[in-house]
Amino acid sequence: MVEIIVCFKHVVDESELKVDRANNKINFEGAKTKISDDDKNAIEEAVRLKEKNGGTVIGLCLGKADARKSVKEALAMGCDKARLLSDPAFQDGDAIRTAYVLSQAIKRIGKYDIIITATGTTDVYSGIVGPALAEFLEIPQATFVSKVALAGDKVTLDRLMEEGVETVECDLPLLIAVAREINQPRFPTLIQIMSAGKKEVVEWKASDLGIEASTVGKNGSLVQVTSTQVPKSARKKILFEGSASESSERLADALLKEGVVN
Amino acid sequence: MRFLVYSEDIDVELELVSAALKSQGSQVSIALVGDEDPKENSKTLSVAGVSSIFQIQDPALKDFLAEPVTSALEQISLEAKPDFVLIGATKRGKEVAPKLAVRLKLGCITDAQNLRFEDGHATADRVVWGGNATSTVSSKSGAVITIAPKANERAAGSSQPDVRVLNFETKTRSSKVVGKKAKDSAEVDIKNAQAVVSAGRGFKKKEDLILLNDLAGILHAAIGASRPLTSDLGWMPESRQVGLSGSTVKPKLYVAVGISGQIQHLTGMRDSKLIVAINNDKNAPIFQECDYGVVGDLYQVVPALTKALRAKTGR
Repeated sequence: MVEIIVCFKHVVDESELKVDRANNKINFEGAKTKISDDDKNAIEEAVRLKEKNGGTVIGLCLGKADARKSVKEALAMGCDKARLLSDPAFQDGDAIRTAYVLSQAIKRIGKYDIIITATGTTDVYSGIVGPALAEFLEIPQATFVSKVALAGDKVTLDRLMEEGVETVECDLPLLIAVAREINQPRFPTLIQIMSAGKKEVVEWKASDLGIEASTVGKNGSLVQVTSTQVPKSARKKILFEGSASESSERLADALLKEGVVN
Repeated sequence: MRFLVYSEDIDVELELVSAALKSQGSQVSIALVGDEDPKENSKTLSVAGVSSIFQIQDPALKDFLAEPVTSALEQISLEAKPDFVLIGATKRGKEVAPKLAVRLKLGCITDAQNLRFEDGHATADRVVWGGNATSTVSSKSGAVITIAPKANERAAGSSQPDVRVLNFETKTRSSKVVGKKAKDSAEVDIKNAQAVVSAGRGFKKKEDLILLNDLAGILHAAIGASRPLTSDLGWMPESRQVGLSGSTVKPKLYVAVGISGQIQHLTGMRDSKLIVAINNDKNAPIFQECDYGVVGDLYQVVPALTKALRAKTGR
């Protein structure tokens, strides 16, 4: 039996964003939302570990009311229950504040063997939440994990590092930040989607977690986003169209001129 | 402003010294931790502008695991009292920085670009939203900041920094390394290559990848691939993957063949000197990130380009 808590984020689908180059802005209007891609790998791994070893998976999501959509999807994927951490006080907090709020919720849940997160989220990809969360909980972490094997109180994990695969062993409890290579997330069946509606979702506010509002959100954050703009690519962006042979001729000339072919 | 720089990679550490020295009147300390005798590395790190080197040598630091390294850096920080800690954004650096920020109650900025310091706070640009945008972020006061390897030149010159040797005090629970498997040579190959030709989803089947061989030969290029071809389809080994979850490459010439240009991929090749794209979709994001692009069917363009280059170079 293994008690797992998996953290995920409800984000705007970055592939659906409209780039307004004229005004140097991103247009978020009408953009679709989703569970951050890598977080789906985290959920999948949590559910697989439960299926193999028995136990429960609790989904944990910090977000606004519209994150309920992602919470429901996580339940359809196989989480047994979920906690949505939603409070205006949490808004515009930096990643370390997010980790702090998650850690308070995990302390309230109380019992766990494994916390699973992704390595990063598709919106800002800071990679901060997992390690910071392990730090707040004072448990060891294994990041960039591509394989998890559980035997009793011991976990063996493969980590994808720059120089190769590093295999580590760790006692429970620990935090695992998964790499996308770890699995292929499932698509829930219709029956699973329907039954997700019956699963327990509890919403927690700052006060439920013993969090002072001034210590989280924008005011409690040590790093703030001051502006977001569309980068002007410094690339030449010279496109050749037309017949393959003609375009190739011109590209070959350009490469010679640039001195990258000799 | 006081800076502390750290990376488990000595070359990256020298790059971070350069980053810190860009700030006027900065005082730079270096953290040198590990299980090996620090003497040799200490000498290498005694470059111009470095005022102190803090050394912690302990068997617990052998594999640079996050928990002991964080503890060592915390210990050094209590001595060096940095306003800013700069850490190399290697995977090991990335997993340490947020922990250290929590311990020291500092802000954390990862993958900082265009980093500048003013009135005691740091401001940096970060790539967000799948590469569609850049956010400018600012720390209220001090911060732990990660910077990508190779983003700065290595610091040079020489100095006689004050060397401080500390005894490792904290022992925290962590995982332990029980095995290591080096990546195959293909990866080393794409990382060091002067030119890289990469294949993407535009290829219809595995056998067609052979088309790239001649082109790569003429360009003296290593062959890479985007994530779908390695992780999802398994047409090429993971070791050849260029991108966020694969290798970051910075060759003189990068040729993206049949790659649409998702952030996953762009992150791994964006800093190449010259980028060329071949794709049949004129609206593919890769064309916003390339210097030269050919809009066309790769099955025609690749052989035609190979032929044209062969004629012009006489190879």
